[in-house]
Amino acid sequence: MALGGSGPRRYAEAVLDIATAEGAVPAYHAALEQLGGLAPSTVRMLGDPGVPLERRLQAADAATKGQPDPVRGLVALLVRRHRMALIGRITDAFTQLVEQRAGIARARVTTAVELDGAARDALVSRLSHATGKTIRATFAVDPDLLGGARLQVGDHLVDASLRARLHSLLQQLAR
Amino acid sequence: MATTSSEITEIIKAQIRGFDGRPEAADVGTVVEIGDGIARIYGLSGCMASELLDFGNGIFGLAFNLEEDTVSAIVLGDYTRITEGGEVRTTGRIAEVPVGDALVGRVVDTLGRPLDGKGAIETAETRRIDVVAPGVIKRKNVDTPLQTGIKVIDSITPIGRGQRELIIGDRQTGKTAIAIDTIINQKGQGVYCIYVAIGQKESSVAKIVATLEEHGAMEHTTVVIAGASDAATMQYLAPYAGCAIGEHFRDAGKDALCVYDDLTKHAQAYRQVSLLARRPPGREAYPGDVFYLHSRLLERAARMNDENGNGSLTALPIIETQANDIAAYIPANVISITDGQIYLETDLFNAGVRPAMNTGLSVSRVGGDAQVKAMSKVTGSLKLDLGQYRELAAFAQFGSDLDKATLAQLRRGERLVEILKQPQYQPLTVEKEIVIIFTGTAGYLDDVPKDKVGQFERDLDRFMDTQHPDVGRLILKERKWTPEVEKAVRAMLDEFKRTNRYTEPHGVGAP
Repeated sequence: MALGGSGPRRYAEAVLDIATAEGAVPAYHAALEQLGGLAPSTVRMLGDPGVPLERRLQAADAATKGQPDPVRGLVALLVRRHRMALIGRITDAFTQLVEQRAGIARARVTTAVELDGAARDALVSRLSHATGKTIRATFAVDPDLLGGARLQVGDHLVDASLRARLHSLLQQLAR
Repeated sequence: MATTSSEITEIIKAQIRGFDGRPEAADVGTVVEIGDGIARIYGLSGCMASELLDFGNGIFGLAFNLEEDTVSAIVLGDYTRITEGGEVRTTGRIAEVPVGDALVGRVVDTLGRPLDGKGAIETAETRRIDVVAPGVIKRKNVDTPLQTGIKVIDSITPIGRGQRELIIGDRQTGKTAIAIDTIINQKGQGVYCIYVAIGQKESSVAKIVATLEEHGAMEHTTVVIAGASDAATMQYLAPYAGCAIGEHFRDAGKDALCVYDDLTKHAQAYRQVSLLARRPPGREAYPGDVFYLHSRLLERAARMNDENGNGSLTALPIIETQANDIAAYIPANVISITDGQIYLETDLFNAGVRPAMNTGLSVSRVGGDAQVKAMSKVTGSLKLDLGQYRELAAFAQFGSDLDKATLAQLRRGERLVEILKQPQYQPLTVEKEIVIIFTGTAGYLDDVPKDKVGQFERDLDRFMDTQHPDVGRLILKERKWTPEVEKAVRAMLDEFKRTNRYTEPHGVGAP
């Protein structure tokens, strides 16, 4: 969830623009994912004002050895601006932006019963056809739906579950 | 209503057969923060400005701020049942209220739900709460008077149907009383009234409703309440809801009157909502669009032209000032929006001048066009005379010798002030207002002692009813101050003065 202001996205956009220009998006992506996986203690140390800035910069430099220069530059910038804590969310935002530009949409499919592989594939292909995007779906089971399915692509929800239909029938009768 | 069980079963069967089981499609978001009636929602990327949002469990909200990743929504009603992580759906609708004749005589909340225990409101029609006011093409000039039944208002600051006249004054100066008297006076005049109580004590509103009922005025009135204990959101939306109820009558070619009591509290409720939704504060911490808040509401008062049904919606907003400061932010805003103001003063109120209207500072910028011609003729010099009287009275306080002309002017002024006094809940018909004001301006009262003017007026009222109902009918028929009308009125007044004597107590002289 990219909450906490639009800051992380600004940094992610900047890095992605450089990466696109250099034609090295996957490499940058991998580098950022690695940074996003840094131990929380390391991130905290890099943002700790009790440690002299010079030493933190040196540590950041050492930690990012071998990474593309702009990614190292990003880390140095974040350390200078006391924004190191954002790194995890910058990585998330970067992933989202990459997917968005590649026309990939995330979908959540919730059904009352477990779907088999064929049904899943059929559903995903129908969804890609309807949205015009490559669908990367996650599947979940919720017996409370009683029947049918709930499909959520991005913010858009199509609720074709039996529970929702019974609920709207209830509202119609109550009126 | 007699409904048999089989009928119900039949209806239900038909509904189930005809049930449209299409899957619901909506944009969804997640509540990330909830408190003070404001919900911050992540997602909802397709949400529209002011869209109604469904929080589930019958709780709704309005999209207030659309931000990059989140939407701030104001919750209508009980926000304590909304939890972080809860799902929110868009509805594709804007907030609406039920409207129509079924609302007349009812007491409802901001969303049109009944509060008077008289059962459900049976109406199929709804209207959007916040709509754009009719444009110039659909309007025409104010041309029909809206009689308040209050002498001082109908003579000096006449109100026309479709006008916006502000009632402004400190607390306890009789602002609400004027509005209530006006509503009472609309009985049988074909004007539907809507009284919107914003941020008031429930006890005061209960008293007002009881008063209206007592005077038979609830038969043409709807009361919309967003009390002091209701959410600020409800207080913020209440005037728009009341206005929508009135607009229904306006657009159906009828006349409606909407009283907003009061817009000061409305602005405060909006300030609260805006600050909580993190909109930047401006002067007195009100948000930057507080002017538009009131201007868009009051613009909806309109006189429609013949092609658009000839209906009207008159607005009587009320503003409470602090220590007579009409230059404060909200009062100055609303004064500049409205077509005039009735300015009430504590000093006058305490001096026994009730209604405590300051005749010098009160104006009606368009009502003169709508005033009954006979009234405007009779009251032509009234405002000027009163103004001169006030100046002279201030001067004469020093008690020096005054010449005869000045004394006569003082004498006249005192009596004019006396005849413009009027007790609460006693609105007068327009013909009586005309006759009584004529007695003052034409000098019939100059020899009546000041403290007997009230008695004189009451006796004359009865005399007109019993001896000369023809005079009232003549004024109503002519509507203009023709020589015949003046002759008839003078003849009646001469006869009245011959039969009734009002002398100074103990024969003491003037004034």
